[in-house]
Amino acid sequence: MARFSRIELAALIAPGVLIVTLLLLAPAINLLRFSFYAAGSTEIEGDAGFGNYAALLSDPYILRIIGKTLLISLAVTFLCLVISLPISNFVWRAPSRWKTGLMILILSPLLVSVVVSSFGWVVLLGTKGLINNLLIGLGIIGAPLPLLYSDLSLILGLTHVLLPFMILSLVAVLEKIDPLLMEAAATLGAPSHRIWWHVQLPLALPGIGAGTTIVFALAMSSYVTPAVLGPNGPNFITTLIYQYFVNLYDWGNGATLSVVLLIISTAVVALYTTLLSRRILRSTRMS
Amino acid sequence: MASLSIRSVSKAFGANKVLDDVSAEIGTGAFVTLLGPSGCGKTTLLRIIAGLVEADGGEILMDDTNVTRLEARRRGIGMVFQSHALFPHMTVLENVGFGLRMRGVPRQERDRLASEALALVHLRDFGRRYPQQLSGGQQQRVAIARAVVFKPRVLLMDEPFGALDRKLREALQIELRRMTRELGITTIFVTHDQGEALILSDRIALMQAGRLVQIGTPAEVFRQPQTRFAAEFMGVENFFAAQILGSDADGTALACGAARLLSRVQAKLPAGGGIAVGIRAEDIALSDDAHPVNGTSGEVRDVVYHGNTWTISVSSAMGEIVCTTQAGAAANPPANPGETVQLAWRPDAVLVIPDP
Ligand SMILES: Nc1ncnc2c1ncn2[C@@H]1O[C@H](COP(=O)(O)OP(=O)(O)OP(=O)(O)O)[C@@H](O)[C@H]1O
Ligand SMILES: [Mg+2]
Repeated sequence: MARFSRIELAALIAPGVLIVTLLLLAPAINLLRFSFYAAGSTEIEGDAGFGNYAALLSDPYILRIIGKTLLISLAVTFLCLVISLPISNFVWRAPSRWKTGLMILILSPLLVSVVVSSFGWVVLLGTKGLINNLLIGLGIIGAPLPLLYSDLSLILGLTHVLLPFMILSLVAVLEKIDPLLMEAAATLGAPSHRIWWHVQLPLALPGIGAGTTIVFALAMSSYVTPAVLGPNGPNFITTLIYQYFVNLYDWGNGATLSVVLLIISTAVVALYTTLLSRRILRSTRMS
Repeated sequence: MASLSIRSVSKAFGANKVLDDVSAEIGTGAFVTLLGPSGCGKTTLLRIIAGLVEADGGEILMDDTNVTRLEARRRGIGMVFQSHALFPHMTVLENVGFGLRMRGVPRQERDRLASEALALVHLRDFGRRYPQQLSGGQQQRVAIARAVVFKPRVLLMDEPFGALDRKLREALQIELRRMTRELGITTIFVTHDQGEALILSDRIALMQAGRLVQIGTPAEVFRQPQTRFAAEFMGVENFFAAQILGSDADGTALACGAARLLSRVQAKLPAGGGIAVGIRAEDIALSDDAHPVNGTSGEVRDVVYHGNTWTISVSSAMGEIVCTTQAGAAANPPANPGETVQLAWRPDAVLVIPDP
């Protein structure tokens, strides 16, 4: 392979750095700048200082939506984890000739647009949807249940689209575990649930950490699913942001909420990874 | 604490027949070493005994109880894996205590027993480390401690001393032998090292391409190898095709081409049968006697110094012969290439190999 001088290397990296700066960093800085605009203003003259932050973060209506966004994202993360554990285990233990097929199956929610898969849930959960029709047909309920446009449909929809990320993270880490460790545990007298608890789960921690972080961050910033499946009106921090930007044309508050979302997500993820990292460090000290 | 019967065990991976009708009876508390070249099926046999792999056919019995279908965890077998298989997320002490933990031994008792087991393998102060912080040999010893700490009925060890230097190896051999004797643990010990096998075992089982070719006491396997493979594996260098001329109480008379040999071994074989004889290089000496009972003469081809010994290759009427002689303090080679020398060996050095 050819060797490059420092200057040549810098020249090679420069376009990439430039693109990343322009496309990611610049908008983020711009957003931060917007967040100091006075409500309703798109001009720097309407400088509000931290006024937007103070007003939004003392508004119980806004705080409730932020809180709900957090809670629902946590619920989705937890649900994804619980569902992914047995599935990833199954994929891991499956004969290798099945694995490709299984992986395609797991990835399939990602192959369909989020909009389409969200409308799939509409078909299932609507008042005239499959589930209500079935329950009424069976005589279990008299009137249709309000399944759609609820927190339930939102959680289901988000879990559905984010599940693949969790399963992939778990399968990736399980594949790296030496199967002899399970056998060693078995010869030492461990039944399979204790092998799972004492050996497999601790060794899968890095994957659990990665998967939950990805799912949580994606859930917090998801827009389509809350918009299509969530309760009416602004129900999620992202739909609220949309409302400020597009409906109210209030860039100041929209930008402020975006920054708040970014800070909350980053803070939660940072706290979480710090807490996990010590355990993860322990379980990944593979030689 | 349990006898072990291996009955007609066979195993194939696809078309690859890895174990072919392997049978052995191993008495309670016996120490058996399993010797054989790489890929002959040693690990597979251990894994079947441990219950980690299902055999295609045959049975495993422990104390006359058929355990063929019993789960690995219920067999009470300690296993030292060839690649250690230590839990990377547990400390050394937790690793060693794992088997006790699964048996419900309380924490304090567990740590005490685990520390004792670690002391046994000379790792008393390593309990708080993680496996990745140990050398290969230290990891191997932790794996041994982990397998013996719960006093298993049967102990299976897959080349446990592979990564150890000679001094430590010898210390642990003695320790292991003492411990398994004291506790009466039935042990199968896989090794490539015939010296180790001879020191440790009550019996040696020789394996070749998925078959047990010979099983016997160290002396039997050393003095009476039944096949050429067994003889080679037990360190015999010189082989000659031979014919049995006759056999009596004193031994056997053999014809090896034009040469006549006398062996102390009583060949329980009819006269006229074609066999092989094997002679260890260290049993052949340079001789002043022009007509020894057993011997031949030839031209020295090559002389190599090994420190304690000289290895001399001689081209004789019987074929190429390798002999080793003690070097002692002398710095001069006992013979020089091109020289003609007389070789001689005692009748009890002539091994009769029925299956050449
Ligand atoms: N899981 C498996 N699938 C397919 N073939 C296998 C499997 N395990 C072992 N084998 C094959 O079985 C044969 C015996 O393997 P085994 O590990 O028992 O040898 P071994 O005697 O322990 O060798 P070594 O001394 O190198 O450890 C080898 O040819 C190996 O390739
Ligand atoms: Mg092996």
